[in-house]
Amino acid sequence: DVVTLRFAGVFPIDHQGTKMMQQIADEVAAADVGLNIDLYPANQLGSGEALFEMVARGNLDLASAFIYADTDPRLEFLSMPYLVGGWDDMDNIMRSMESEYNKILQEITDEYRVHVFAQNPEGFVGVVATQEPANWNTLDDKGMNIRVWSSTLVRSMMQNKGYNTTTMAWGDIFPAIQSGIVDGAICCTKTATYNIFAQSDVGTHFVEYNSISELTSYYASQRTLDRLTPEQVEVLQAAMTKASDEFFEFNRTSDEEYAQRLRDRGYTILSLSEEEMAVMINMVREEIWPSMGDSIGHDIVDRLKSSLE
Amino acid sequence: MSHPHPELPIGPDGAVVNHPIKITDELPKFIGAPLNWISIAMMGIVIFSGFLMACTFGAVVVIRYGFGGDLFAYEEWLLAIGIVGFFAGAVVASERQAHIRADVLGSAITNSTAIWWRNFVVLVIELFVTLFIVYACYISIADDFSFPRLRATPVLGIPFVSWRIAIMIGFTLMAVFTAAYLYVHIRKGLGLPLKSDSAKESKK
Amino acid sequence: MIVTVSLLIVVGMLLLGVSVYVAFGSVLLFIALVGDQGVAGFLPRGSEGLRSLVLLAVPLFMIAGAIMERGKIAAPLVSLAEMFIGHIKGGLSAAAVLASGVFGSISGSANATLTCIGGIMMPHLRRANYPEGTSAALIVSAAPLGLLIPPSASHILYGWVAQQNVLRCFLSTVIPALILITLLIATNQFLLRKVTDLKLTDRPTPFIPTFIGQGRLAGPALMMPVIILGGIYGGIMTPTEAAGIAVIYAIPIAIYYYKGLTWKTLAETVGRSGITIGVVLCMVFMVLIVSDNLIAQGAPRMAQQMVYTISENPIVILLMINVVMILIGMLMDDISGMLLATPILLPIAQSTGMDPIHFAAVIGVNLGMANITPPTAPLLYLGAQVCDVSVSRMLWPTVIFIVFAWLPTLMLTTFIPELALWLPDLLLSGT
Ligand code: NA
Ligand code: NA
Repeated sequence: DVVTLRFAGVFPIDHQGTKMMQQIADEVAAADVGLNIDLYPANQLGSGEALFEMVARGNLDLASAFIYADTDPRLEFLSMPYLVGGWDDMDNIMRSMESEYNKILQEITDEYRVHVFAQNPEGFVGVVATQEPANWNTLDDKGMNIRVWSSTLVRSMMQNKGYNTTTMAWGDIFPAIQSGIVDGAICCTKTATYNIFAQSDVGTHFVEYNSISELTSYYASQRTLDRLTPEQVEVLQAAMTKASDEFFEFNRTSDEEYAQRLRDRGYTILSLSEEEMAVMINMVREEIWPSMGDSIGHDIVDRLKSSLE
Repeated sequence: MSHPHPELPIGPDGAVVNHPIKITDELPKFIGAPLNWISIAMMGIVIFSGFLMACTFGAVVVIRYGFGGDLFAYEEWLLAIGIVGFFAGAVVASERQAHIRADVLGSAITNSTAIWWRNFVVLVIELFVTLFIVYACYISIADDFSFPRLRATPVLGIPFVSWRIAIMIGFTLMAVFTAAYLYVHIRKGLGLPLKSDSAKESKK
Repeated sequence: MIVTVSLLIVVGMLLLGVSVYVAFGSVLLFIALVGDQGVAGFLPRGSEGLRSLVLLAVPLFMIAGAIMERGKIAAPLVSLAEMFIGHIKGGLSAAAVLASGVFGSISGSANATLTCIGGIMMPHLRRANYPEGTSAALIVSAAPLGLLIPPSASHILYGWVAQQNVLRCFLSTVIPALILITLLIATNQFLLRKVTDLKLTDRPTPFIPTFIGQGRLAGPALMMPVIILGGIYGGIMTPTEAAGIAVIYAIPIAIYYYKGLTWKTLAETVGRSGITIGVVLCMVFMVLIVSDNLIAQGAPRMAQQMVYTISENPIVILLMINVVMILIGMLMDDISGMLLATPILLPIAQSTGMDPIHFAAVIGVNLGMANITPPTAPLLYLGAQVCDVSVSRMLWPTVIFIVFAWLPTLMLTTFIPELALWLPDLLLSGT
């Protein structure tokens, strides 16, 4: 008899992330190993914060979502700024399941009986703004107030970069920027910026700080995997890896494509020179990383640091 | 909101049903008195959390424009207190039988024995289902403690179980008040006088 | 199978008369017994669903509404409306409709609107020989206007569940509300056509000084929606923050300007709203868990298949969606109805090409109408008591107002998307 697994995701229905979930379901069904996948995209079974808990408890089999640090403060290392500097780094560090980064992740999620199949970095999160930030390429005062999410780490990084910050929930960002409560937000990749803001003629500038990558993971409940045959698990892993590879290529291509679309919409994309970027990276590694050690553990910071060398 | 005020229970024919009884007065004193204190405490929590929510949002706006600052991570404690306030309100609602009922059959049943039996069935279901929810909460919280760490808010580290336990306590108290109404309802069915009525009688 | 039985259980339990939260709880009990979902998932789903800043707007607007209600702001609003049209035949009842719209915008509560406006207008209308049943029915039919005129807590919730821009949701029901006001007044005029002995009030003279006097009395109350909406649309605060500001604004106005409250009765008022909030959020808690479990059982897909087996015609599909929403609205309040209907019906509506903002307007009108549709018409019963008119005398005129005002508004809103979309498109570019 056929085992049916529930696979929940957080991307909208017509998003590439949902299409990849569909592809995984199709390939697993086609492999004909007695495994069937039902999809629940678009937060239908809960937000990304909720999904990890559901998977950990075995109430949900598979998820495609970011793994939030409210489960375990150590997980905040996933959004460690300037850990990766470009798309190749993303591939080698975040996507390689053999990297120190993913070894640390798997060690932590093992404690929650959660298995990570693959990682999907989607691109760097930038600052969307309704005006050009003053001194956008240095650490000096920017004269503007931007939204940050509730993370001490992101807030202190943005403040060190010279921004005033306002903490705001995701759902409030769009109305807040549209109506001018904040002058911008650190929130979105270029693709998301285009879809959420530019298409609605909101925002004028996108600053590429390339500090934090948008990331989701394919993960599964170990309780579920224990019920499956080794062959079934292999089929799952293969479908997930393939989808992750294709999703990454898609994101890499569309990042360039959406940069152009943003410009066509009248956006200015601000990119830092190598020297300017080095100043930012130094600041973060010297001031932000050590303070991260207090919450995520100095051993993790050290392991990541030495893996980079 | 589209329902009558909880303090004005409306009967099927549109008449205000005078709030029949104060439930804690109808119970044996050793249980009625502590329950009365609990309901007063719940009301205190309700009022406190109501003012706190309003004042916090006021403060958020004032701090943003008045001081150019940010009440960082306030949602973490405000939502925790808010949820406690919601369920304290739900407990008081159980104490006053103010939870919303659709009550379609109400006007159709006129026979007093039938009315008694219907209310009896309703109270039994309410008690049983509320107890089931308490059980589900208990299983869930026990599961929470089985993980290596308690889930907690990212900045202030307030454990999620804190408001989850409050919710379980809320449903427990709701079950207790429902049970109290069931007890009084059965006494009525047995033809025993209400304490409030006998008190009035003895004063005359 | 699980979905069908679950819905039958909810309806059965509600008909039996158990509390709404228990009706949903019994579905959870059923799911726990027959489904493959463990009960351990219930509490996290409900509690983390409640842990949303956006959701806090609901209780805060409820508190603000209750304070304004107790603050005796209704009388000056009524006098203001009356001085403009009280001297025309039918004008006094039209004033009741306008006052309900304005008061509803401020309080956000159909019950508060009905209690306050009905309590003040009904004696006036009676003295002026307006027919009792019709007048009471009109006041009842106008009471849900506050759900359509922003700000409205149920639209904040809709924006949250459907991931839509709240600013646009607010604006989607403004034109439907104006249509409804017009139709209510027109229908009433028609019903009054044979009534000849109405006593009309005199047009106040001198008009301007009286107007200034009345305006000064009503002003601070009228400023509340201006401050709230101005603050939200002007980019000063988020809708949730605005709900908090509404409370903070209402307190001194109610205590020192209208002198309807003291600090002691203010605490009582907040406490009483707290009970209502507890009732509503306890339902929301259950609805969140139930709707998630129904979704996990494939409810949206099933509903879609069922609808499409009956017809593939978008018009028929939209009509069916309306029928389902009216049924949902008949059984529960607008907040829970919104939470249950949105995730299941929105995908179907979108499959016919409907814009989610358009759907916000349709669901808003639907749930408003459900509140006055017998047999489960809480507002009708409350209205009978507030206006001191028997339900039987109000029933027929209420049905007339539903058929000739509410239903046409619902149909126009459903089939002419521009009515919902034009204003948001005009005021908020793009999106
Ligand atoms: Na309103
Ligand atoms: Na109804």
